[in-house]
Amino acid sequence: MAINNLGLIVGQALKGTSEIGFTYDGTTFASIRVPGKSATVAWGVNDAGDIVGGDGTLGATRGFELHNGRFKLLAPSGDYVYVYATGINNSGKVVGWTSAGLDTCGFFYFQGKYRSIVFPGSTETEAWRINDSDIAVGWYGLPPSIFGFLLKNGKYATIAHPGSAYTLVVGINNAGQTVGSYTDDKFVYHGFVTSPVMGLP
Amino acid sequence: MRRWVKTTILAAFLSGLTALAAAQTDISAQLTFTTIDVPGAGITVIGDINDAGDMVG
Repeated sequence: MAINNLGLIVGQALKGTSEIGFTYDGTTFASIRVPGKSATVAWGVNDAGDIVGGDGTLGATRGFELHNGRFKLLAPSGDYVYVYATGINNSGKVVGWTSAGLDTCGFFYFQGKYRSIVFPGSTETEAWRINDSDIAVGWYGLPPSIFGFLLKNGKYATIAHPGSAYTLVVGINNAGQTVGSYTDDKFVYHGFVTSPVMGLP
Repeated sequence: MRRWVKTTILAAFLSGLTALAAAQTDISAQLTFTTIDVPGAGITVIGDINDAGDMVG
């Protein structure tokens, strides 16, 4: 689920045996459905209304960007079970992640070119958002913990809620505030918002 | 002997991973975290924030 600076919200919902994406402008819901696919999820939206997500089935997806009513396939090279485009900024730069079983990696896409996003030393990395300063955020696994990360100009930084085993960062705005979830000592999830990130790596 | 070698290699690998990760910058201490719990909810998950500070989850 995402919200842009015009207040447009995108997300997904189960409808029968299908999963459909939607937009909601505060008044009206509209469906997003890739023709012929039983699952369409919308994960990110920019201020132009470009939407990114994944489509396919509940068991396998590929990434897409929806621009001016047309779906464009986003497919990093490799064999994956799931590909999701999860965030798009106002320059059209996209982040997302791919999964082939236990092998989950983030990716960056812009103007036909892909780059991997993998937090050094991690066992899995998911990229979720990118703001207009090209700061990407997401989370990475380093068993037994999960940490949030921030990526700017090829340099990574960790974001971890104090004392939590899991910190999942999934959003960042243009002020540099990040949002996500963390677990407490009973593994209950709480939401959080941070102060703006300063002193980037 | 073989098991010892495997264990040693695995330990060195894991140590390397930990050291590699530790070498990255950690900016957590620079941030103030504000908890958001939806009243009455068992869990709360935030998904995004826009420039006005509106959040969805």
